[in-house]
Amino acid sequence: MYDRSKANSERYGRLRLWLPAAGALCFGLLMIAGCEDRQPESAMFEGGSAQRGAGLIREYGCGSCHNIPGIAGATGQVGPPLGRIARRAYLGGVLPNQPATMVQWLLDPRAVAPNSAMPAVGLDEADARDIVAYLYTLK
Amino acid sequence: MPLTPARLAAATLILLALSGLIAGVLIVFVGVYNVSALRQHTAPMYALIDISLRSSISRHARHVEAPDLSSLEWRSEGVRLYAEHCLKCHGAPGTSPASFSFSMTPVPAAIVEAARERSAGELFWVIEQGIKMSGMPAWKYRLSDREIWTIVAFIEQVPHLSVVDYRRLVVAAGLPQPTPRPRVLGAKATVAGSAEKGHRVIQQYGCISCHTIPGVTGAIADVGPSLAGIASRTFIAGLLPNTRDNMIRWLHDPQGIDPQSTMPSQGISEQEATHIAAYLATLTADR
Repeated sequence: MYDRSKANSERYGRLRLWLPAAGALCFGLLMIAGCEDRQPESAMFEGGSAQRGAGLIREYGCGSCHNIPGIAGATGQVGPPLGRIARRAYLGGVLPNQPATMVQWLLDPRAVAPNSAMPAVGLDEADARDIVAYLYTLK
Repeated sequence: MPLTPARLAAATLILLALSGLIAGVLIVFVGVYNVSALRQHTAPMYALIDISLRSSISRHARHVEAPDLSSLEWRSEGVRLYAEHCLKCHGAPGTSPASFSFSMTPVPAAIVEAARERSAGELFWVIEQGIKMSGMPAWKYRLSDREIWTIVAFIEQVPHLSVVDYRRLVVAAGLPQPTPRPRVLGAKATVAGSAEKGHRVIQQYGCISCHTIPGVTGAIADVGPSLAGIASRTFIAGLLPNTRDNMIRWLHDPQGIDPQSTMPSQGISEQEATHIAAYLATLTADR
């Protein structure tokens, strides 16, 4: 018959005596382990003003559809929340997310994803770059 | 005997050491920690392992120097090697991993997330060395350095590839198109959705490798949108009105609804989708 305790002592020998101590140590580590901030490699976006972008986000009413951290009243529930959008791999579920592709997406979402519920709101490219500069601060 | 600060500190330390010892004995000898792959780790254990894993990779891969990746044939050989050795567990844009990989705990990382988080040197190190106590094998004695770097060169391109781009590469590399839909067990829903069952099913379809999902251990990824507040959202995936039936249809076969979507059809049955939808329905905006 298979003897579990014997099998364990054969596998780990004297080490098994130290395992409870190791368990205690792990328990201690658990107590001190905090949350780690994960840093993606996404490059900072040059050529846009995040501050101006925040103003444009208010002006164009992006917050009526999206929850956007740092923008007062931006608590919309139509589309996804934009917290940590700089880390997001895809925009609208289809477009690889880079600063340049985000500009393209904001200018005309339906040119990329014809069935998207997100409309083109009539941004020009300079405005879109500023908005992207702001959204890329959301990590 | 007066309670001085020194005595209080000593008593606290002794109590902590004792409780640690008891926890150790319960785990090591009594076997109270459940190793079933159907159960996710407890949240503190998951955090401990996940943080240690990330730190270990960063530390051990810090001296790996990447060669000039642009000189490698990632379009042909990289796509082929990836499809042969990696795709079954890590998927590709719009392409589901094989269903067995969803059954693994830890569930393999979505390749786009790994590519966005890790440097080329770190990717090389993980492929070459593997990760013990996970399903990731060491490829050092199975692939040449050049082959591993060619795979890394392809993985580095994944964050720039749409579903359409990836399918074009697959065709150009002369590979068969991946099966659009894995096998689905028990097609029709016969039982009403249960949020509790849905919570368990979520861990068996790799949802956590792409989405942040409140209340689900390990679900902290940013491939797709966070599902926080999904119950209050107007649209699913930016295109379907968010009704219960649409959510079930979407979970069951996203590629059938939107072939451009990076979300793969994973073989989730309608019954399982009904349970997942029941859990997602609890995630209101005010929660």
